[in-house]
Amino acid sequence: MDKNFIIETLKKQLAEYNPSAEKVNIGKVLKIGDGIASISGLSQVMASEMLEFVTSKGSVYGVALNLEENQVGAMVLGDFKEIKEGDLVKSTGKVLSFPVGKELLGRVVDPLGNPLDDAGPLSLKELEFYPIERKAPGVIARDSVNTPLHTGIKAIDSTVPIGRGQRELIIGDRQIGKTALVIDIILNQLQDARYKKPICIYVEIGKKGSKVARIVEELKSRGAMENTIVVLASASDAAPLWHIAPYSGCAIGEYFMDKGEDALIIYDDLSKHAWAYRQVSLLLRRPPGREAYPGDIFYLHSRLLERAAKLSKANGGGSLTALPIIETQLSDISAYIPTNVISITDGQIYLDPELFYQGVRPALSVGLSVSRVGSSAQTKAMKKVASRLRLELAQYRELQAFVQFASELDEATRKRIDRGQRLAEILKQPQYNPIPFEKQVCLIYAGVNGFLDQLPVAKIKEFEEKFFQYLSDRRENMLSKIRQSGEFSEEIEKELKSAIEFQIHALNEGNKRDCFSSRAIRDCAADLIPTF
Amino acid sequence: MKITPLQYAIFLYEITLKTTDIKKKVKGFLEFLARNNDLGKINKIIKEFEIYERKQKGIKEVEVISIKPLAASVKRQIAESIKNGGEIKETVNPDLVGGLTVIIGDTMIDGSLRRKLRELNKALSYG
Repeated sequence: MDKNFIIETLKKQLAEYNPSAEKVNIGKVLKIGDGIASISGLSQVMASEMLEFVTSKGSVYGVALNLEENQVGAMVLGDFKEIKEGDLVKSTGKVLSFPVGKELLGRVVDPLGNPLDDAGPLSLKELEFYPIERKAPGVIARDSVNTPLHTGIKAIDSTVPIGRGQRELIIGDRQIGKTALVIDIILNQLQDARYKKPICIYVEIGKKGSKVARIVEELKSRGAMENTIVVLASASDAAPLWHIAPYSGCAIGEYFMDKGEDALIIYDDLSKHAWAYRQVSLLLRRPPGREAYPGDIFYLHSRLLERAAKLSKANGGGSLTALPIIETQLSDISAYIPTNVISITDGQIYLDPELFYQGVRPALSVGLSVSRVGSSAQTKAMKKVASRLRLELAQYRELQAFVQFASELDEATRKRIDRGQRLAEILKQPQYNPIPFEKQVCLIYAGVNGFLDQLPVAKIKEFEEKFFQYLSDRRENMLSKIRQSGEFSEEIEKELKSAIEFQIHALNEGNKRDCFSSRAIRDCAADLIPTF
Repeated sequence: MKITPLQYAIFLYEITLKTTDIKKKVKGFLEFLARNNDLGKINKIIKEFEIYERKQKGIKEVEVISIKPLAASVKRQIAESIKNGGEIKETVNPDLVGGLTVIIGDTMIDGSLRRKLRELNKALSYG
């Protein structure tokens, strides 16, 4: 900062000095511990008001949560060990707010808006302050969910489509690929050219620092960090910070939604958030309910997720899509928090450990996953091929028990099982490999129309790779037609059919040639060996 | 049923309100405490009693913080300007840098130079 500016400011202050006084409502700390303070006084304080604890080492902030007859219960956001009994507490008359703006893009911040990365401080001039708790948009302000948010995951885009403004739960055991799935979804937003690029907000609650560093590094190296904001309450942060992290992230999302942009927010994960809130509530001596969660645990999540919305044209047409994650214990989806969040969201993506160990990755269970928004959030092209896919997979699931006796089954059943196996195979997808929807459409078309039945299951993977390569090398015109129009006309169908046939033929021929050439080499070698 | 310190305090306040023989009433109260096995709560009861009495009589606690002991005239001026003020508690705190801070009940009127300096610091550091 300019030296002269400082001197000028000081001079101005001195010239204008008037011995005015400031009137504030104060209290004294009665008890402090575990991030919770009991305060006497503060008769004028309001619920959720920000409090300033005046300590010997500067101010620490907190939020008033319990207003009782003789005291106020507050959670401390920051280092509560600085606060001593008898310290002064000032009410501020403000609610907790979060600095939001374009400047946050590419940054890692804590739930109070302080940067955690090494890119320097945020300049507050460019930022607006949004309250972290805000009422969700009303009925009139909303529009129905009608635009797809392509995830790049074949199994999701085809069977449980996600629309902009939707709330889709991702649920599964630990170590099953929930985080991997959402990272792929963030990566796919880079390559989805048909719609406006959404801004991704990744809220991490109680994650290990090392894991977060790896994720951020991965996003950076793939160029996705530029339109991503990470809000981190790490494992070593106090429970009150875990508690406010999703609301802070939501404030950022709302900012972009209000600006008419599309935003995608991922809460990873809300079960840890529920634990943090349980801790805060129990320490505040609120009565425990089922599984020791407080009575308002449902409202905690419903008011958060209700803030995801698709705004009407009159309100700018922005959207906020929420993907909450819930970690289950031993795949028990009927526990308290999972059932709560399932009932709040517009559908769930269930990751099944059994599928995971069978090698189906992503381990998405098509039977138990649903999207209540349904096909209104799909392009026409995808709708056309995906409806058949879902039906075929459902029939396959019913017959799956008989797979072992395949040779004893009648022709029709065996065909159905064969088809199902191939369809299940094409839904597999490696990590960091999101696929644009137009390619997905082509592949699923090949699957549901029986073109792949002539290939052995083990060859499907190879076909997929070569087919995608061929499509982007030779049939870019057709792909861009699907991408631009979102339709699947007869003309395209005809061209696609020939492309698939060509690729299958090439694959079969290639295999034969491999046989030939290896035999030729052997023969050739046999001829040559005696000459040495 | 357990009797809370506040309930004891209210009880003590009521029985001593219109009496001339305070000693007798307090003695009776202590015997009552002893019978209830609650003599250990006496400190809490006294604290609650003080708060309750102030609330009933509408008297507010007044504390004045200054950088050096106040002159008698200043003190008188402060006492006169506060309605229903109780006894003024004086605290000397040189951290204030200058000016005065007056605390009445749970309202603080901060007229210290320290606050001004802090505001200036904030204004300078955020531009």
